Amino acid sequence: MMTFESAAARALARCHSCGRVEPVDAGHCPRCHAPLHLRKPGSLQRTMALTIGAAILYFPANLLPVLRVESTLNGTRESTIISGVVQFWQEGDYPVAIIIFIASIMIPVLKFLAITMLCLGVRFGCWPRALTRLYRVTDYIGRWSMVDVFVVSILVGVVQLGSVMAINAGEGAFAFAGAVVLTMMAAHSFDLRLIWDAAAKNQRRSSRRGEKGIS
Amino acid sequence: MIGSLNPPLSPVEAPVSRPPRRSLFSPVWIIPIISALLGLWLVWRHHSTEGPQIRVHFESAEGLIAGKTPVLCRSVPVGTVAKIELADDLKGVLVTLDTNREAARLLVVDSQIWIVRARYSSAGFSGLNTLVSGNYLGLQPGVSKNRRQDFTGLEDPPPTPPGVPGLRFKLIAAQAGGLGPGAAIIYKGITVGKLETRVFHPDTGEVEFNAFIEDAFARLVDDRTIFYKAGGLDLKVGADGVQLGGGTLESILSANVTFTDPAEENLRSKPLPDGRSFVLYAGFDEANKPKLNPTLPYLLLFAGSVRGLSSDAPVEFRGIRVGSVVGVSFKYLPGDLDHRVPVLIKIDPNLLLDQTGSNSSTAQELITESVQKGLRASLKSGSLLTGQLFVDLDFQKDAQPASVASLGNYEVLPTIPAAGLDELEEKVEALLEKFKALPLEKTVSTANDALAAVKNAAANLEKLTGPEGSLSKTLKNAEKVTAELSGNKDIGGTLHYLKETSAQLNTTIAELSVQFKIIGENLTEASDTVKRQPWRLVWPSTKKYNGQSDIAAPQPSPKPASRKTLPSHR
Repeated sequence: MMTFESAAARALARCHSCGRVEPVDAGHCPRCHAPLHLRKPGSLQRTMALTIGAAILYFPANLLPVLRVESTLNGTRESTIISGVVQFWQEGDYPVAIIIFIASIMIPVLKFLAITMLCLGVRFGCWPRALTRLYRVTDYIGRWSMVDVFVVSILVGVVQLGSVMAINAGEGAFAFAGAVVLTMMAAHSFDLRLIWDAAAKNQRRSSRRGEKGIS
Repeated sequence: MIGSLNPPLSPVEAPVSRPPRRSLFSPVWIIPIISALLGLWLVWRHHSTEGPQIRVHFESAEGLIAGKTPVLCRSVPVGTVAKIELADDLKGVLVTLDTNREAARLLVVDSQIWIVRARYSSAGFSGLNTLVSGNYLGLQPGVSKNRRQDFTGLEDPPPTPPGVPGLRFKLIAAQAGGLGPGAAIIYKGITVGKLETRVFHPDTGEVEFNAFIEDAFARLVDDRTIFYKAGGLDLKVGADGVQLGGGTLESILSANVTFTDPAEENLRSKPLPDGRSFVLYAGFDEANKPKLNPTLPYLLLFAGSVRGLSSDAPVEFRGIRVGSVVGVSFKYLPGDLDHRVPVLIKIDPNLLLDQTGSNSSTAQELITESVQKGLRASLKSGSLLTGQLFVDLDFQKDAQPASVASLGNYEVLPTIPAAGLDELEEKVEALLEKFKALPLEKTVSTANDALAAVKNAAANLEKLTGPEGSLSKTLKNAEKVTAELSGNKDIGGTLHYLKETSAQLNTTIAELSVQFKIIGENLTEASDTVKRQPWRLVWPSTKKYNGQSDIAAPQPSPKPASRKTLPSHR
């Protein structure tokens, strides 16, 4: 198996803001004066905390209505994310239903799973390559979950027809936006290099165990 | 391999694993706590606007849509229809309502819920806005403090809630007469209240209204207030001519209730207590009629026909109404062999007694006494036009002694034959006889003869004035005379001619005068006929007119002739 020597092994830290590589002992980046860390400080804890927070908000986000349509003729109608998907599906708008389903239900759930797996990867140090790819994908698609929030905010802003019809954001929209923002922050606060550190450590331990076994 | 290449690897391990050890409880863990609190707050906020779910039982869910139909209390939305399902017994529908949090205190035991839809009542149209917005549920909050979950929906809008200040009383009417819930109570043209419910009591035959008068006007009603139905058109035919009165278009179309001015000069300081009963009269005239409460039954037996005597016909004593006829039927006295017609009347005993209270005897005793003094019942004609009869009670001077007899269940008053009626009948019959005896046919034939003579005269007149008539001859002669006169100077010859001409003229005029005399006579006769029997101008007798069609030719004939011959043209 191919192994690499990490920069941290040589006490070199990459500046978080400008990317300059400096010995970590300097404390601050000589170029932009940002504090230097070998790894993102408290990355794993932060990621886990944010993910748990997002997961907590994800329940009200799906249980509470995200959209409240108040119309004089039809009374008040509230719809949750799932009921919106079901409604679009029943009305035959399959593409829209699929988009909402993927963006608002599937991606957040997958994101929780992905971040959980990344955290487990740091703990156990396995499949570093696959997890790296997973991290990239998670970071990339995570922002699309905000589509729902944007749709709601646009509708609320545009459809205010006075006494005839008005659309208001439901409580679920706030929870959903909070959950999405927290997952994005979680993905961002995750330090991918920890996976590789763990993998290297794992390998060292196994090689040490192998040496012990041999001796 | 790495170890051999990088000896300083082991000291670097420490900084990598240091951060987690350094802060076991990172402040970042506040985030899940905050998000949990935020989530809880959102959930609470969402459910804080929700009130209890209630169920309402309706006969039909006409126009209600689950998830859409709002529940409005004074036009403020307080909930929505969540679910509509058939009731378990299939005798109605069970409507589940999601209510707002504020609505929770509205849902008490005496709250009322009804479907607001466009409807027309005696108060006019209501709920027309539902034609556009769809039906909705109305909620009228009660005053109770006890909450309730299951309601029974009303079919009609509810009356004024018990908490609203005002005067509540009952109006008892004999007929509903177009009045229904919502009908206005109007005083001096101002709506002061309304009728709220209408209940018909089959056992008493009365219609009972629950009425409400607003607090501001409640003091107008006192013990002696008379309520009567108003509205519609008022047509009066009297000595002043015909008067047509009506209020606004609204009041013509819909019946309403009004009442008389307060009896006292000053308004009451406090309104009457609730729950009083008033009689609702059918109109102002009826309200002001002396009140008749006939309770004392008597049976009258008439030997003659009682045609024209209807139930409710008046029973009068010297022109004053004292009672009513209850009915005319043999059922009151089935076994009478003489087939006298039994007529049951009822007399108001209060009207017979003076109201001073000095009279100790009862009305029954009074009548018994009066009968011994000669009080008799008879039938009299109330109206010549309609032939309606009424029962007249009066003292007869030469009455045979009689007394009140008891027959079956009834007391029987003695009657006398309906003298007045027979007399009238006789008179009418005599009048008809006279009418019959008129020589109508003879008159008509005389008139025809007269017309023929007139025609004859006209023909003669034409003959006289025609180109070959004697008159023209005379004129020609006169012309010749004047020509000769102017032509030669022989006056003697001329005078001779003139004498001759004048003699001729004389004879002609004599002839004419005879003719005119005949015409004059005929005309006189004709006009006389027309004067006496004007209907002959319109209805000629078809008899003896065979010769008449000959005269009908369009000739210069007197006017009556042309009129008279009109039918023969057809």
